[in-house]
Amino acid sequence: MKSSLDNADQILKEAANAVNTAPDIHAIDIIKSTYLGKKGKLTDILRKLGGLSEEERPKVGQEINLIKEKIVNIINERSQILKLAEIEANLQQESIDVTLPSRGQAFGSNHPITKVQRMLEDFFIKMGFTVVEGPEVETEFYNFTALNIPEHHPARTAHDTFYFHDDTILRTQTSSLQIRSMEKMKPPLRIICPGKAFRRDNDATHAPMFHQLEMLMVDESVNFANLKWLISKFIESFFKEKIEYRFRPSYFPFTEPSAEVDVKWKVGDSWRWLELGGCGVVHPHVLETVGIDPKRFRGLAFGFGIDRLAMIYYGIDDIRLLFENDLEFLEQF
Amino acid sequence: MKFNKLWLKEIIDIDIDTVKLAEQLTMAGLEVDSIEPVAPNFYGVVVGEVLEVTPHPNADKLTVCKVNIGATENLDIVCGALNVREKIKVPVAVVGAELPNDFKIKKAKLRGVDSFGMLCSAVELGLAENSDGLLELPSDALVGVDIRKYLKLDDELVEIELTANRGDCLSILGIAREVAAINHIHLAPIKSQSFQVNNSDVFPITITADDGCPHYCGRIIRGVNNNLDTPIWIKEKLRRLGESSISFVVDITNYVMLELGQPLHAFDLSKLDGGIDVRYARKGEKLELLDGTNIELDDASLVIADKNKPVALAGVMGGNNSGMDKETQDIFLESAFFVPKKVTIQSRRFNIHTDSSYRYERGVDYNLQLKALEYATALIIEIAGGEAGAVSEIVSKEHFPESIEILLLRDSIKKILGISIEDKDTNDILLSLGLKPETVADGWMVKVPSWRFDLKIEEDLVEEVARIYGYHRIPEQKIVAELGVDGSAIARIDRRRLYALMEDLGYNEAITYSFIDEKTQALFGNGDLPLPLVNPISSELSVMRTTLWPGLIKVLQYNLKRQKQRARLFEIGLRFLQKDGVVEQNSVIAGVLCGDLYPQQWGMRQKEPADFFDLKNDVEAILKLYSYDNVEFVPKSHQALHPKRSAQIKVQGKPIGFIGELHPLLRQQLNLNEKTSLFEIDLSFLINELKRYAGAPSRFPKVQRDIAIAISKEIPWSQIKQKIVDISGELLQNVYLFDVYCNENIGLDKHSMAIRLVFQSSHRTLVDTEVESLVGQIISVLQKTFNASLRG
Repeated sequence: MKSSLDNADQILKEAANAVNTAPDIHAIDIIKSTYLGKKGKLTDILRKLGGLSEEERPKVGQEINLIKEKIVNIINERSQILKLAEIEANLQQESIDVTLPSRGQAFGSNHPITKVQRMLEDFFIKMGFTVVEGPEVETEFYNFTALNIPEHHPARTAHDTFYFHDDTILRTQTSSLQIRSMEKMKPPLRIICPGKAFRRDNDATHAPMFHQLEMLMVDESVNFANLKWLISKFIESFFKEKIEYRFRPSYFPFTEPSAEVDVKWKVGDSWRWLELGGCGVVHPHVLETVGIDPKRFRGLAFGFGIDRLAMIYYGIDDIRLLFENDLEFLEQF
Repeated sequence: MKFNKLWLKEIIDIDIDTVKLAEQLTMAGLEVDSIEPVAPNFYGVVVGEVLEVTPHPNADKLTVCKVNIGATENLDIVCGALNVREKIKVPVAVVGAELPNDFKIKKAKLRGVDSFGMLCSAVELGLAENSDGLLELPSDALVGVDIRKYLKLDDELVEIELTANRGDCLSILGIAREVAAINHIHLAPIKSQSFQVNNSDVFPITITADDGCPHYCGRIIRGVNNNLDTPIWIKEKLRRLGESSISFVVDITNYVMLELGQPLHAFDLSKLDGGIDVRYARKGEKLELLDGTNIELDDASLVIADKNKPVALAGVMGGNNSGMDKETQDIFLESAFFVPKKVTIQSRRFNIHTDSSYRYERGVDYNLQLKALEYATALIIEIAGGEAGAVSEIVSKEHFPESIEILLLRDSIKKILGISIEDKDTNDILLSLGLKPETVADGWMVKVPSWRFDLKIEEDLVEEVARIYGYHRIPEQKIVAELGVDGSAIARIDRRRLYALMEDLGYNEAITYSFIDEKTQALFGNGDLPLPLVNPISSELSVMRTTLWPGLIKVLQYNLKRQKQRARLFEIGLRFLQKDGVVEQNSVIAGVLCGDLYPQQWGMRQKEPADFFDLKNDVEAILKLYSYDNVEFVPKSHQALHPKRSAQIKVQGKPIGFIGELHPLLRQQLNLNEKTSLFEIDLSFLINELKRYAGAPSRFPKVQRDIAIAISKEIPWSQIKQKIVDISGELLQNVYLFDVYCNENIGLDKHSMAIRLVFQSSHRTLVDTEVESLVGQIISVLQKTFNASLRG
């Protein structure tokens, strides 16, 4: 019995020594099977306990189990240390250059006109306006006649209209949607109509196609002073600061009184008035045409150039860039 | 509309800085476009008289002149002008003068002769674009006077962009009225010299077309010297306003038109037979106009005719058959009011636009005709002599514009503008504009003068009050309105989601014109006939697109030319289809993929051109936004697409668009080197079908089986998949393809498909045997139906 325990003590010493000098986790695995495995040294001693007396067996067995536990603990401790060391070593190996470019699909972009249009819509949607869209191929009735621009009116000629056959044209202004909307909706109403309009212009400052945002509000007690407020709030929201603006008397056959809206904007080194668009109180004839009683309701309307606003917003000085669709240009947005 | 400040100041007594004046006009609705000096800066030029002209000793083309400039000594000046001669008066730039463009005059030796200055042409003084010699001044010009003073060159030209309603401002008088109103200045009436009238000298007139010409007057003036040089002060005014000097009488009629706004016309009396008749032309009548244009008239053309022939196109231009020339002595001077619409129609019909038609189209003061006639007559007689006959005049009571009165309520001003204006202010403003307000119970009854024919309703008067009061004095006022629910705003957000998705998928948005060139349209139209424009800007922009592809392809070509190798582009916009005589204008989204799937980057195995299936994934992503699960890609050919790599996209059985690779022939034709794929979807069919049901996932284990079959390439996957689904019933949780490949062992017309089958029950654990049996069944049906064979 004594010899078994002596042996076991000896094995513990040996094992502890082996474990503490094991260079890596692989060596530990070998030590584990050498001492604790099915054919391991300690297992061997346990197997031989059969030769001991009934009294001695449990005692010695207990002692040896204690030793086994000690070896397991030593192994676990050492393994932990070695594992950490190994990970530590790997970390160094796994070093990457985090400044290398990413991989994958390139990012796309939305057109500056789309982005600016969205900003404009946002302002009015928050104010409870409804966004309305409509046809680009339009009749003279909606584009002119119903807007108080009868045939042979000088304002018609000034528009440089694109014609199809008969009385079909490309709309020269999104104002045509004022009529279409008022035909469908009952006042009070608040709408905005973003969209394309077309005129036979093609030079450095005009494209034959451009984008407008039309606003129409019809209610019982709205007035010109309200229109000034709405537009000034809109300008403030769009430019994200209070900037100087002015209402300048003008003429549109479908509004009375009418105004042009200018904002003071820095172009190069000098401040200049830039024209944003036209506005006014809807002409009573227009309301009558769509069956709205002008004695009870009044309308406020404006039409602003989205392309112009996009150019101001992004500091674009050549309108051609907007429709050239050069990827180098588009990718900036 | 242009005016020069000095002319304006002849009519209105005002001392105001031009910039300030421009600001006032702009803020009153007459937008000033530009202010320019009427002559560039120069000094040291005086009126001189050429005393002697002798040939230059050393040069054939030069002369040596002795010139008197009012100094103690006469100057010797070498001159090369052809019109130089003794006794003429011309501008002389003396030594020390500086002409435009920093041209300094120094004492010079020209071919050996000393020259002390320069005789000037209008071009050298910056007064004209071209000239054919020295600027000859009238013989009464005072020698030695500074030419700037003599010609009144310290003057400015103001250009106004006039709105279509303000025909009344197409004259110096009209502008003066506005300035008077803004500055509260009284405007004195324009005076003219009185003259003798020979009452027995009358030319007969009749008006047959009184609906086109409600007022016509005219008179004979005999013995006019039309050969006379127009006085320099008239010529200078005409020049500043962009009119060239034509002949004395014509210059006078233009002068009066510019000052008062009434177009006038003078006929050579000797060329008129009988009397004047204002009538519609007879079909087939012809007229050669003063500018040489020959027009064929019809019964809608309003003309001035004599007994035998039309002699002028009313309101537009006179005819050559009755025009004046140097020999003309007796004239018939016409001043008429034509109905704006009639002049618009014929000026457009014949595409002839003149100063006269421009004014008539916008409207002329209907009480101005007689005044203008008197004014012009006085000027002609005063300058060129002659004897005036009596005025012939006809007014059509039926068609002559009625003077109108408008009721302006105090309350309307408040309601429309949102502010109250003092009664006195309102009254003053109305008066200053030449309106005649009469106080009534709740406001004013306002009489509108004949030149403000644009004022018709109460709102017009409110605007007049507001613009003179000052728009800037109307304070902003917060809007108070009812809350409303905007149904469309929700739909709008989804469209934005689509834009965002495309951005996230790596597409750049393009915006192209709705009209394109017919040829490219024909390449992509797939048989749809485009709507042609009657008056396109160019053949490149001549038809309405029936698809967005041509626009995107052009953008692609543009960018490939600029060294881009790959592109992903999309556009959302309307396309225009002609259906049963109606133009269907639906909103569509189109996209194009060209070149490699990914941008060039490190760590990539190989360059991989984007193909049909890459694009298909993007299309599915779009349709997923709208929660459609019943999406089909049905093989179908399209003119622009590869016949074996194109499909119609269907949602719930409805065709909504196409997807495919660009046809290789078209690719070659369009010089696109890289593989290109396209799609287009009609967005109007995609209404937001939000799913309203979601099931709970099964808690029971999944069983997965993989099978590989060799099968004919002709059999589409959709059919195979459908078959598997049909056989398996509800236990099949998922089926998908995880590999497709071909090799020689399988055969050229076949490929191998590796299919993963996933089984699961919602209420129990599956047993192996039932799964094996299902798989066996699937294999056997695939074998029987599609002649598929099971692989390894």
